[in-house]
Amino acid sequence: MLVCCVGMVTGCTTAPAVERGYPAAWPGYVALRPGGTEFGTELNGTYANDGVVVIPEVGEKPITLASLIPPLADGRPQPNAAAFAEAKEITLRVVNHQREGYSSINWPAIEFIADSKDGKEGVWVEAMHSDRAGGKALTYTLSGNGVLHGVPLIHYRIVDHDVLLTKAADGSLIAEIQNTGVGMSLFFVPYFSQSRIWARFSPRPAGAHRAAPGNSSAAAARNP
Amino acid sequence: MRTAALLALVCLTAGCASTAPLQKDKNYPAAWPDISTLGSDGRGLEGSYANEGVAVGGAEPTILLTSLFPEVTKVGPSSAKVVHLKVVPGKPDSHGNSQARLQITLQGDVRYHYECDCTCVSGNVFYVQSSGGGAIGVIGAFGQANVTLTKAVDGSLIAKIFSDTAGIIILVPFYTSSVVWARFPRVGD
Repeated sequence: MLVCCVGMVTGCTTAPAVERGYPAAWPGYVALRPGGTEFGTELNGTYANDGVVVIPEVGEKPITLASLIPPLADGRPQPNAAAFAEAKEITLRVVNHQREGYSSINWPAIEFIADSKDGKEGVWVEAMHSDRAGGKALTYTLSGNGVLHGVPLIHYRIVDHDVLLTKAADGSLIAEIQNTGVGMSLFFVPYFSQSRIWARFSPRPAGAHRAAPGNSSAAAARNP
Repeated sequence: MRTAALLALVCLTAGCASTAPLQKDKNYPAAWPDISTLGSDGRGLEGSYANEGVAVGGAEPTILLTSLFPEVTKVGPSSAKVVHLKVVPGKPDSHGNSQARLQITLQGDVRYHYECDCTCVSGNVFYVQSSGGGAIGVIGAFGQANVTLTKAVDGSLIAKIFSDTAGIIILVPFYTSSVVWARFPRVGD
């Protein structure tokens, strides 16, 4: 029950992005517009696969957008992971769908699309609305999914890796990668930990296969 | 204690599946072609099928093939028109059955790939589509839905969806089950 209580407060942070570590040097953080079936569609667009991530006390490091695509449900790599790893750019498409048994509710889903020599490869990911970012964001589970690790009553924890997608003022895709751990140690001592890093991917004109800059520039900005 | 034992007993009976070759039953539409077999390793399943099929025994006359895969696999988008299936068989046991991987590809302008575990048994492909249960107060129940895939003699995909639920309400056990047959036309590979 204690774990549930701690779990319920997980991710309830609504502090502005800058207070949650959004890099000050990056273009302004833009939360998504609230909206029903159109929610998240401003993320639609093509982005460089090569981006940058800012790690506290380390600095900027390279990261790929492909690495933010969840594996299969059983943890195995996506069958088309190689196509995404090789892609220079990845297109995001936010769509609405209806889950089985919830026909009256629209849920967002994200389609990651990459060109390959055999055509277009896609990964379809269920997503959710989120207010965790101090504004609207589109969130999905990268890995973890509430799986319990450890030995019950001795030491166990639930670790989730979530991604919250928004945009920057220059049209870049912003990914807030949250690692959340909730658990209990010996003698029922609860603990909660959360860390986050920020990643950014430049907008790209669809179909323009050019060297990814890593850092975005104002010239590369476009309206999705 | 007695309640827990009773609940365990009824739960154990839920989701029991036959491993016999798929047979037509009274609910199998007479107008549909006869059931064929996939071969012992399930490779006969390979092919492309329309995502939208017809169903009997369920709430709706149409059914999406994408809705029949294991719930945890989260196959989408459901708007796909064509689904390609392929079985990668494992090592057969002494009865000729094997654990295998079912490869699912949604085809269209973009291809989406999924995989899940399945069992090739008696010339059919079998997997658990969903399962779950719980207890609140004096009510406890456990349910499971199993899907068995095979082919019809005309090459269309035949799915038998067997769902059952077992539980107890104030120490009174109950059990319900239902069978839905679905058929998905084969499309050009």
